[in-house]
Amino acid sequence: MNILLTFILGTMGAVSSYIGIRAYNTKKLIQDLPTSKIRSVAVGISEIKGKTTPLTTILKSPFTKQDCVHYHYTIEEFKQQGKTKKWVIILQEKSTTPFLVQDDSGTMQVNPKNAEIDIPQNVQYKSGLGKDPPKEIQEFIKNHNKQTTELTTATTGIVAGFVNNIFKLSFEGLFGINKTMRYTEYLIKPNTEVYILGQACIPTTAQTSPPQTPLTQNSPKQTTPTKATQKLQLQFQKGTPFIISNKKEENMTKKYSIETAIFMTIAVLLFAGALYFLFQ
Amino acid sequence: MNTYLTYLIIIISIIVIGYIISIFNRLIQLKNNIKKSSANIDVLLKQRSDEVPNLVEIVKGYMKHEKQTLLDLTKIRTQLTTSQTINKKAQLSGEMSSTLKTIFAVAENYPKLQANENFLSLQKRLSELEDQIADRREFYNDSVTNYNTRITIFPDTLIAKMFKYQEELLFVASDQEKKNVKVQRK
Repeated sequence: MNILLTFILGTMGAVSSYIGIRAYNTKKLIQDLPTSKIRSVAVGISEIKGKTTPLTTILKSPFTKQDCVHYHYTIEEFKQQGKTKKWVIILQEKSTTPFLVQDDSGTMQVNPKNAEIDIPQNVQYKSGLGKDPPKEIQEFIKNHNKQTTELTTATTGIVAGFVNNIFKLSFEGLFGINKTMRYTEYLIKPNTEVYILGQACIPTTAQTSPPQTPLTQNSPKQTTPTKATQKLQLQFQKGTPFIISNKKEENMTKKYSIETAIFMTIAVLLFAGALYFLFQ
Repeated sequence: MNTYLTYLIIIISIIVIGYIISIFNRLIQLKNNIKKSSANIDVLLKQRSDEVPNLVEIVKGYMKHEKQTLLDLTKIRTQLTTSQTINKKAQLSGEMSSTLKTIFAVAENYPKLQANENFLSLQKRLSELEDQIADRREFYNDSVTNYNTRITIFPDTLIAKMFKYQEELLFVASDQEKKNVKVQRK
């Protein structure tokens, strides 16, 4: 029994210390990496600050239909999971449309795919017994179900019935009684001041912004400038953090310091417990 | 009681060793930041140097009285491509910036040159490179300052001394670069 407890506590301690060390490394990276001016960002991990602007078309947030450059929403249901009831995510989506960030020196494309996005929630609605969700949520659910039906019909050939019902999203449960649900929307509006830490890379052709105009045209070979600066993009790369936040750099550092302290304390206590059972 | 003391010693030892390792890794990371930012300046210095022959080729036909300035520019370019230390690079980079400023200022006296599209695009390109070099120099100096601060504060200084980490030099603009360019109108 003691060996089992030692193993469980030791494993939990290892996981907790891993999270703590990762938060500590991110904090140090934020502190140690100077902020680059956008026009002079070089390939590799970079930190920039600037205001957001849409790349091509402006996005509309899914619930509130506000203009934005990035959105993220979650729909959760309060339901039984094992012995306890808790909030379970039943649907979520993060937009992956690239946007631009601008500072006083230039603009840079950011591809938010797989980014750790730290922004406050825009709105949160709730529904439950005797309380329907607001109209915009009902509209969203209706559209979502319509799109899902079209998709399943196109892929399976089944027009209606069992398959479609599996994927159907509803705020009503058995006998039409409302389920306890919450709907949260996060968004980055245009012209928002953001902090971004990520990998600067040359984007693949599909994501590349319009090419720069050549510096000289039809000019003799010896007088043609040798190289035009290639536009870089900030994006996710495995093994390096990719953070997009509307917080200030100092607040980001503070956040990761708190995270480090919490997880490292938990890890120490768990390891102490593991040692206690090991030597008992 | 002894057993609890053993747990305590083990846990404290793990924390202390972990902390020492994290300081060591952080110093290495800071040192790598400096190397990377220095290399990023080199890339731009090379790009600027590569444009010099193009510039000389364009302007030599027009600016016959500025032969010495063009020769100086070519000489600085040659020295810059072979320089190794950050001090030397900073000095030569400053001299090149200053000489280029002089050439562009003097060029205002030559309307035909001012009308040459190749010259104008090269001037724009070199001006962009100058701005980028200035940004990256600032980035490099921030990286060096971070590192120099870190190796002098406790407890990092103990590890830095143990591994003989020394202060790095800043990329300082030369006096010549700071001077305003004076051009005599013809």
